[in-house]
Amino acid sequence: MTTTIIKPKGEDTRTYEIAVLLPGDVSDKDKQETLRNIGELFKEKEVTVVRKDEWKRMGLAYKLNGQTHGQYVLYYIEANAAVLHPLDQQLKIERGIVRHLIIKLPPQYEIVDWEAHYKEWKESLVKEEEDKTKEHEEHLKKKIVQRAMRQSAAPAPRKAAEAVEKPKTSAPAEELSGAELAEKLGELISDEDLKL
Amino acid sequence: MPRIIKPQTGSTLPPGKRPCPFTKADVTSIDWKDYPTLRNFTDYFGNMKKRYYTGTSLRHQKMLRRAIERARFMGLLPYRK
Repeated sequence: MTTTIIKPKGEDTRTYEIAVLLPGDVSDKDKQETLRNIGELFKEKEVTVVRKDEWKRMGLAYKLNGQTHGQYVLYYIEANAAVLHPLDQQLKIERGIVRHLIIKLPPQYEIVDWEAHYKEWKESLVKEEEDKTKEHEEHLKKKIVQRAMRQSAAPAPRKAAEAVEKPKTSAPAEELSGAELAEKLGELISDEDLKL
Repeated sequence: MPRIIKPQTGSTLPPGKRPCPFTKADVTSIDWKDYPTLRNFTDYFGNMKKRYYTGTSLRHQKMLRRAIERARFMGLLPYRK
């Protein structure tokens, strides 16, 4: 997008910004009328409009005059400082305007297309979420693969160890059991020196 | 297009010793219409974040305060959520 720096042309003039908030539920006819009135006001006060920026209808952060939606219209103007106070008074009186704001622009102010900026930002937000979900899925896939690898690799040594260990534990029991054990027990019981 | 600036709240540095994100980006003025940036410097309830946590320099915090108050007046940001 192109950005333009605005500079005052006259010696006694400065650049200002006038933002006007129009109600959201107003018909096109009424809206055009208020905009025309504002234009006439500017003509009357000898204000030159450098650029006019009309945003789309959008939701508001809180209810303003019972309105949940509104439309912003921005005027970048070049005017004499003495004109601003009566202009402010007139805008206050003007019907069909919810809020208005007049500010002095800093030197070397760059005009930006804010609507395009919002769009870009929202698209980047969606992209970020998609990237996050993708990363999460990839992480899960890696985990599953690692677990499968571990399961396939682990059982073989365990079986071998069990096979080695089993005869060791079972061998002494077999030696003792049987007739030998009974003989030994008989010898022990028949021993007269043993006192229980 | 202006850059979207984020506060240094997630920094490993302790609060009070974090670098200013606006100074880093060479910002000379903050616009009240720059919603993506202003949103990052307000919390869930709509209050401004402390500069002790965001790392913003005093010069830029003053600009930011003005911009947020203007945005609130025009219905772009909430006073209280």
